[in-house]
Amino acid sequence: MTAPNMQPSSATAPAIGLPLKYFLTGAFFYLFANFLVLIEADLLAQALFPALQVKALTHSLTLGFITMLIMGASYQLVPVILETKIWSERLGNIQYYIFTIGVVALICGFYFGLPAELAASTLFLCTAVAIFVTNILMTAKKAGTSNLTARYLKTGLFYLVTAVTLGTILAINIFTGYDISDTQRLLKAHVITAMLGFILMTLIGVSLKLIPMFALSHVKIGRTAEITYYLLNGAVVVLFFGLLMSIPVLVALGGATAFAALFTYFYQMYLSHAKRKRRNMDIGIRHSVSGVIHLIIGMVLGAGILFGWAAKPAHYTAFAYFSLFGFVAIFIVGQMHKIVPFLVWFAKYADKVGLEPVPNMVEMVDKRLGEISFWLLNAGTLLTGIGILIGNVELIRMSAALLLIGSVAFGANMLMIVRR
Amino acid sequence: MDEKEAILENLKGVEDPELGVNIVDLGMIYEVEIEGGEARIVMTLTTMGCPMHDAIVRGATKAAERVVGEGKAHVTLTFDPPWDPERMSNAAKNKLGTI
Repeated sequence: MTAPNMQPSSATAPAIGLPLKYFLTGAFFYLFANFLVLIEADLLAQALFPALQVKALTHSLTLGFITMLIMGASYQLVPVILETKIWSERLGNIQYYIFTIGVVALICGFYFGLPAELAASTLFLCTAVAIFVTNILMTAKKAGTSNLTARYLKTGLFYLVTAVTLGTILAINIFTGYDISDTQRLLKAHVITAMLGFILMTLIGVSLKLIPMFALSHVKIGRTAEITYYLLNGAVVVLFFGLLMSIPVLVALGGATAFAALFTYFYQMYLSHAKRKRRNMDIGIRHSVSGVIHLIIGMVLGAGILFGWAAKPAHYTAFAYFSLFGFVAIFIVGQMHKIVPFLVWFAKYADKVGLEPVPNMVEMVDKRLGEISFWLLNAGTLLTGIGILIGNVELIRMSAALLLIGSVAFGANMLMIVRR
Repeated sequence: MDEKEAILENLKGVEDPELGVNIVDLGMIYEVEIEGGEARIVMTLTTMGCPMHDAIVRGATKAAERVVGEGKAHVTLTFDPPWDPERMSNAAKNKLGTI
């Protein structure tokens, strides 16, 4: 069997500047989010997650880092997965500026309590998300093919739109002062749609493709991954309605379904891990694997919330913290140790292969900075989470300082790769 | 050193950029033939859908052209048989931690 008609990846790859601007800006917001953890340690210790400053901190991470990264990575990886060029790189570039303005305005609006800025930010964010979704869907339509990874990504986009819509309603509610009878229900639905529907759906979809590829594990993405997909969708939908309409039995069912989805995902990852031919884990994979450990801690807390033995605000705050700062953020940091060198290698060295010695992608990452970010981000996250659970502001401050140094090391590593 | 050996030696300078191991030691080269002054290479990739595939194939072509001349090296990509990690040299297995 000769190779199927594989498009040269150089023919479909976007210009390096497009994904790179998202990655570097995202890295900055990650550092900023960790800075906010440090200066708002007292609010976290009191588990005052409704506080506007905590909302600013949360959205620095979820929008400024996580969503920014997902957007940039999508512009890089979707052409690889679908073997077709992005529908419009120009729109992707325009979107970046609109999205960044929206994120900055939202963070300022929350942090300084500025309802008008908050409402205005939603205009920018909605526009940026609309551009992004259109761009990715039109690219998928152009490709004409669909696989399970593409389905995960498209479904994630649907939940992104839903989450942003709910967020917009909540922000406008703050601005108008209109008293929707129970904004807490909308807020919970917004959180579930964003965290499980958009972020987790996208991360799982991408990791099912990338992790086996990096590990040289030729385990087929098959039935288990499909089961995960349907379970996760079921969980999001059931939790959405359960939280929105305050129906405890639906919330319990949705939570249990989410656990089932995660277990099937872990099983697929375990199969990949067991059959991998590449045993040595580079610093990027080590970061991502350590992120999963924080997810397990989050899941234990989630189980406690579900079954009622963890019902204090500190438990909810710690659950959100371990899930977002622990799993999602560190997982993405790990993947950035793979994606950014890939981008730079492709732009600078791809044409020199076979003509002169070129560095490989692992050599492009500074090992010492990688180790610093690995240990400090993990220790800092773990200790901050514990500090939140026990309400110890000094522990949170100390561990947040570790996080900040770790994120500086990470940011510096990324900059050094780009400047090669 | 004949031309075939020279090509293989040059192909050792082509690394999989993700794994940091050259494509000969990875066992990705299936055939190298010289016919009528032109080189024909049959090779595979460790993963179908590898995003680096054209950089690697182009690199292999250029490495061979340094022996037989520009435009006289032809690389065919195949997945039949698919890449087998057992084809890796011991040095490659050592580097990847497979042994």
